[in-house]
Amino acid sequence: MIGKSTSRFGWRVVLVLACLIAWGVAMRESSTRRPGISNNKNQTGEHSAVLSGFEPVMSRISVGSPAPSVHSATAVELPDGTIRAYWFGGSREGASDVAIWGAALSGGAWSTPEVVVERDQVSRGTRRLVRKLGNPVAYVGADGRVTLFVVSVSLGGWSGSSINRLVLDPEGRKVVSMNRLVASPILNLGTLVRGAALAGGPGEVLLPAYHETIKKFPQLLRVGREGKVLTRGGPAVRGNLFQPWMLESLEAGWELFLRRGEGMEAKVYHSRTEGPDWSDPVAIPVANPNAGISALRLADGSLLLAANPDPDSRENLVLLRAAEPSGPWEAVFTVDTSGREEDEKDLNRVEYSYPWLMTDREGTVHLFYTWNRREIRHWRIGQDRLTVRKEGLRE
Amino acid sequence: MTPGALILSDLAHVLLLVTLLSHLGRKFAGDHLGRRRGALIGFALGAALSVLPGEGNPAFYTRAILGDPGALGWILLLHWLSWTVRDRPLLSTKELRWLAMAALTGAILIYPASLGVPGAPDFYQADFGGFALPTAMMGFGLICLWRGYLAAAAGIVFGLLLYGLDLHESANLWDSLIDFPSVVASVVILVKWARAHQRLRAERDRASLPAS
Repeated sequence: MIGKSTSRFGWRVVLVLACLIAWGVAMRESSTRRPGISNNKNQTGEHSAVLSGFEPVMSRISVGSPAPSVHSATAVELPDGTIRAYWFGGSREGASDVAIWGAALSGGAWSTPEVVVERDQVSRGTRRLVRKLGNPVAYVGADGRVTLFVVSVSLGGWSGSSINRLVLDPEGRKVVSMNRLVASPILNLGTLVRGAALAGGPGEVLLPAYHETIKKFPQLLRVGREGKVLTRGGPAVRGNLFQPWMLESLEAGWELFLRRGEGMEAKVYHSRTEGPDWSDPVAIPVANPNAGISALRLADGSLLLAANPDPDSRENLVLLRAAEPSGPWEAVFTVDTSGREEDEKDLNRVEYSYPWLMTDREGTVHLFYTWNRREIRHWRIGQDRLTVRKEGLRE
Repeated sequence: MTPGALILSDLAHVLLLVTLLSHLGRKFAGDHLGRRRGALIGFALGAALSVLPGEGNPAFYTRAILGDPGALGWILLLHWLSWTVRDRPLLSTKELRWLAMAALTGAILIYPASLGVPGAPDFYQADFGGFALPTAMMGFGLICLWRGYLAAAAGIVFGLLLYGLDLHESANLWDSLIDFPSVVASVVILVKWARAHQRLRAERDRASLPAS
């Protein structure tokens, strides 16, 4: 009896010590974490530099028969000036044969698209079943390495998604390592990406993700050097606001453009950091039919937004420019409206969707978008050409 | 993930599998072979399946659905396994209830904001690198010790170490402490306890009524 109670006392002493040591270890780990997203500002504030006078030029990227259905392009510029684009393609969206494809623009010509990563590879790399792949978002770190954040689903539909972080080789063609991001405590379900990632602290990435299990809302993630989510944040939203595009504000802080889901309300919203908090998102005067948008800040500080301007179709895609998010927004470039092409005539519904805007080091604007789910198309436009309405010219 | 995190992830899913199969073995083979022997057969089967490579390994699927468990998941699985195989639970009923209530409190704090409930404070975000939760957990661990709940205290130490030594796939302390399946199990434990409590009270009330 005495022996048992002595042993129990001994265990208590051991556990008290263990508790204190574990607390110390946990506090040390906590002290290495960084502050919240809205408190941090590591970028220089210099916006992509000079204006350039390209006439608008369109390139097509077509992956051909292995991937008849393509969608959701993302692109980055590598340290050597090569533009690398990635997108998902397969027999149809959500099919198990969907892979992430990639191609490079170098010397004015696109390389033949090739598979960068397949579903099975993501399954093996994350050591769990992956049933389908979705949106990729590419990011180039200060070391020149491309990281792809790719949506995948193990269970259910897109609302059961998680995000995978894939580190690519220096050429951005093959996957070197990967891991699953944990962004939600509820089975880690429902987090997706679409908008461009930005530089966070050293080795860190600010990833504008969104959640859509029950309700759609933005969730800005800070991903650490080791590929773990270090913080999450973003504006509190009412209604379904998702697919955030994050830009650096002209003043200190960040701003977001958000797409609104179903319903009759306005379709594009804007929010900005106000100290450590985010402002309530407000509608901006841009028509959009519950479709993907993309935003960019130009060299003069003005804003460029790619959107479908018709409230109930994705048949037109325009670039809109404004000095302020509140507008006025002027259409400065319209893509593909000079009559339908021959190869669009068999389509029941024309769709130009999921734009991706970026600038290269020379200041040229690159617009990528999905052309009728059949091709990824690409425009190069000089910033000085984005002042008055222009019709797209085909190459 | 660190090598330690990979090993612990593998062990967690082995534990899940052997526990489930032990329980099934006890339940379905128990009538013919004896409950303990049935459980041991289930355990052995689980252990054998756990060494299968790649897609043949059940962990390939359980990890996809459940992710890696937190400390509470480990404790509940060990408790269940001990009860199934050794006929000796790891936790007392009171200790189990105490942990279940703590888990439910945690879930109430972190789940609403994670589901986008407007105005809900995001306590999950606060503990990617906060100091409050580790300190609160140390306090909770000491209270557990004071109450004599040694296994619960050991679980809290384990959770803090999972976080502090980077042994979990998540960098958030909440994920090292609780996980969704454990929270669901906690709700079941509390509902069962509440029902039993209610039944007992009703019986006591009936017994105290004067016979007509």
